[in-house]
Amino acid sequence: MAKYLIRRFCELVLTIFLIASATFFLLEAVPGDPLSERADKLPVQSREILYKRYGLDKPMMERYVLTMTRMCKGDFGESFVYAGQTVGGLIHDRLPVSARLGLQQMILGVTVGLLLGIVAATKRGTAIDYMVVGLSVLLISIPHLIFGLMLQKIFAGTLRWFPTIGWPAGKDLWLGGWEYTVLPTLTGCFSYIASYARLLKTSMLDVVNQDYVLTAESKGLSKGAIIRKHILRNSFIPVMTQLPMSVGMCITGSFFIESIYSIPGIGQYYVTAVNNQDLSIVLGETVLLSLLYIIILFITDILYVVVDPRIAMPGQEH
Amino acid sequence: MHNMKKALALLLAGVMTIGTLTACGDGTTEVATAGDAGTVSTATGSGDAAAAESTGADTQVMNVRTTAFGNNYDVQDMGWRWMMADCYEGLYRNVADSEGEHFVLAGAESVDVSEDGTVYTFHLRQNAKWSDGQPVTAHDYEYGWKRLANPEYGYSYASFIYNVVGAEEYNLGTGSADDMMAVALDDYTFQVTLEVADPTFEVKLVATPLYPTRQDIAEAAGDQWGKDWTLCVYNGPFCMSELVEDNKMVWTKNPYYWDAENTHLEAINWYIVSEDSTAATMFDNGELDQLQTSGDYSIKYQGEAEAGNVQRLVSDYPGTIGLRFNFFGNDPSGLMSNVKIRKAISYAIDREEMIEAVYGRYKAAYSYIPPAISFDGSSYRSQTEEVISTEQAEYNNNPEKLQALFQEGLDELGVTTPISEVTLTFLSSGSTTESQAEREYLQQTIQQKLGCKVELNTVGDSSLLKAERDAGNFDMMYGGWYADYNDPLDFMYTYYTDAYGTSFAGYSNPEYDALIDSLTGETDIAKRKEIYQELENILLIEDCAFAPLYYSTKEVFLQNWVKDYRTSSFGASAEFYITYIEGRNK
Repeated sequence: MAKYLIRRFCELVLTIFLIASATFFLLEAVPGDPLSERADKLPVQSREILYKRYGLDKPMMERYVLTMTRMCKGDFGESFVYAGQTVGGLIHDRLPVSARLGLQQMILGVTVGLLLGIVAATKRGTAIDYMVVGLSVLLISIPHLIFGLMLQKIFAGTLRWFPTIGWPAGKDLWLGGWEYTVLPTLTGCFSYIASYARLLKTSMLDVVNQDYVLTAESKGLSKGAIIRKHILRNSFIPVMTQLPMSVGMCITGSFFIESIYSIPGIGQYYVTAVNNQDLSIVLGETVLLSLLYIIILFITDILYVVVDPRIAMPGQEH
Repeated sequence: MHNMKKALALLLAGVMTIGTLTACGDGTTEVATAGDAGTVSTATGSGDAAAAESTGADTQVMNVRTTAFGNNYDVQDMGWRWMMADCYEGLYRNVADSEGEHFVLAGAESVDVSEDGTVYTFHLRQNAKWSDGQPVTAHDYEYGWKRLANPEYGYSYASFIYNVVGAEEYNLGTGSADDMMAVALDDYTFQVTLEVADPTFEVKLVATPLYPTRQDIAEAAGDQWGKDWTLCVYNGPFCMSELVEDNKMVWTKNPYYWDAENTHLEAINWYIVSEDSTAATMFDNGELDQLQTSGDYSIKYQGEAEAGNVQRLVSDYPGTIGLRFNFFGNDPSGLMSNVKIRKAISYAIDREEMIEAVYGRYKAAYSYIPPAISFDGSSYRSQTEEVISTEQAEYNNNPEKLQALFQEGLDELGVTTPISEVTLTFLSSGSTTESQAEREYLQQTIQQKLGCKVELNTVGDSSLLKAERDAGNFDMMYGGWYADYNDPLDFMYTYYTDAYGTSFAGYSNPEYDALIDSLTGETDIAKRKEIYQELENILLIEDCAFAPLYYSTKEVFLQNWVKDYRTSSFGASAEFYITYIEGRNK
């Protein structure tokens, strides 16, 4: 077990190093730099001073080494575009906001999705089944932007049930200001509903035809008991492996939802930073988010073993 | 074993959840909501509004839309221009009223100018105070100006004061702050000595880089100066009092402002609303009092304004947009060195038709200096004729004449390719409906009228545009200029050889440069005007280095209860200092 952990840790360090280097060089390969927009409007002599001020007058490899050295100390530097903004500050101020939004969407979306999946699978071939499947296809095809603006127009504009924009902060950051979170949560939860409903339905249908289900049926077990004890448990393997990835995805924020509802989350900032070629912020966020994914993948591996005892932990006797 | 795995999994899942919870802790103490202020200030129906109604007064709160916060509160750095001029104040304030854009005395009560025009002595008002109650003194101005020139900070606008004795040397590292002649003679007298007399000096004084800065406060903030707004003090009508990034900013009235009794608004709430559709919903609900929008929404509210449901403010904005031609000598067609070719392209475009078809706003441009630029007390354009309108009228609706002009150009270059096989490359950027319509209109109209082919080189954003420009992958490109200060020179200087590096596509004309140089120290207003006319003539007629297409304008929609709201081009984009609310609760 210890050997396995050490190996995973070394892999992690290597992966992060490769990701950071790739991010650095990819951003360098894009024409222009974070200052070009500002510099273009300046007399030539002022441009040199500006580049010097941000250290962008140095050659690329020197900056690469400097950036990497600083990164090892956990310092990603300051934003080129937004004065004073650091990666640490972003994580502290914005990640909680995106995390609450994402978790709310996921909890609601996955719960409803799984229930619909069960209904569709048990009522296979009926009108309900077709409705669930049809709805899933529809919900997954409508972009968040359109959906969000539609909800906003109807529920905040015409009906005035909820505020149009905003997000709770301060003491309400985690548990409060619910009225602000309703529309953004709804906007995002539909894609979870659609994907989890389809995932569970497909998986349940696979299991239904297994021999042990036939055996259970022939033993005379009630339909409910068969679903609960045999079908559900076994058809949950794909769901369990999908779930941690969803958690990872959901807390990193959604650009469109955050942007239409003016939610000060991390997803919006990330996209803006990439557009601005704001190297320090992009690098910092990419590295931290990669770290998060790698950890989540590791947890997923362990969850596999828990859900399906047939899979052995590496380095463990079978 | 089985149970242990289960426990392990549970533990991990728990750690994950707690991890996400604790990583965040307690963020800010502010509430990032739109509704709280909305209900206070919105139309009837809410309890607060009813309370305000019973007292018969309007809540003096204004809710305003923007799409991004500047996130830089350092006046010397030009920071967020909208905020700077509302929360800070310089020697002069720029106002836009029935007399156009002009400056009025603000931090200065009077000014003496020496006979030769090189020494300006500003007598400051003694009742001006910072938001912490301290007086605004000449030392604050001296510190601000010397800070601007300090090479350590690398401020972009340092060149604004290069004409001040010793400033350029200090900024370029060969002089010292002590030798820079912007000094406090006493607490309320600030004196600036110029190298040579400069009639454009005073119009620059409205720009925020020349505003005062408190040495004690700025130095205490260290490298957080201008970055952390909580460390700032303000000497303008408003103070920043709350900020939630990407969501909301609040300004409240500065009780220490010298003219506080004429400042009516108690608070201004800025909301980040990125989608026009959302902003329209909020404007309709009364959650927003002011709206800047575009496209179909602009048309919708123009209708509402005609019906009297909202107010519409349209003003000239000092920007001119058009086509720049490739003067680097590496243009793909190899034709851009010929002025007749350039003119044929320029005159092929029907400006009136284009702004009608593509933008539905703006003004057709036939010169480089836009109407928003003032000169000697009135709009420069009202004093001189549009430069290319006569020639344009002669050619525009006459395709044979245009083609003959184009053919003459080809002949002069010794090119034997028939016009129909000539291909021109047009560089532009952006993916909005408008930018698409723009480039397609130009492509079509040039192809149709000249009979050549136009190929589009379209890139995603402005940094890619610059890369393509510097690589010379264009014959003509979309571009223009938005003014930094209110004088024709600001526009004319852009085409001075290499003044802005490659930004102006490599244009260079010694005669043009010599004329610009001759403006240095020229104080005769009539003579200056003559030179400006000559410059525009060289640029647009003799050389046709730029094909002006439109002058920018600004359109703002306001609720009917918003009174005395102004926009200005050189101060704060939105001037709230005399704005008030009346009749919101009716």
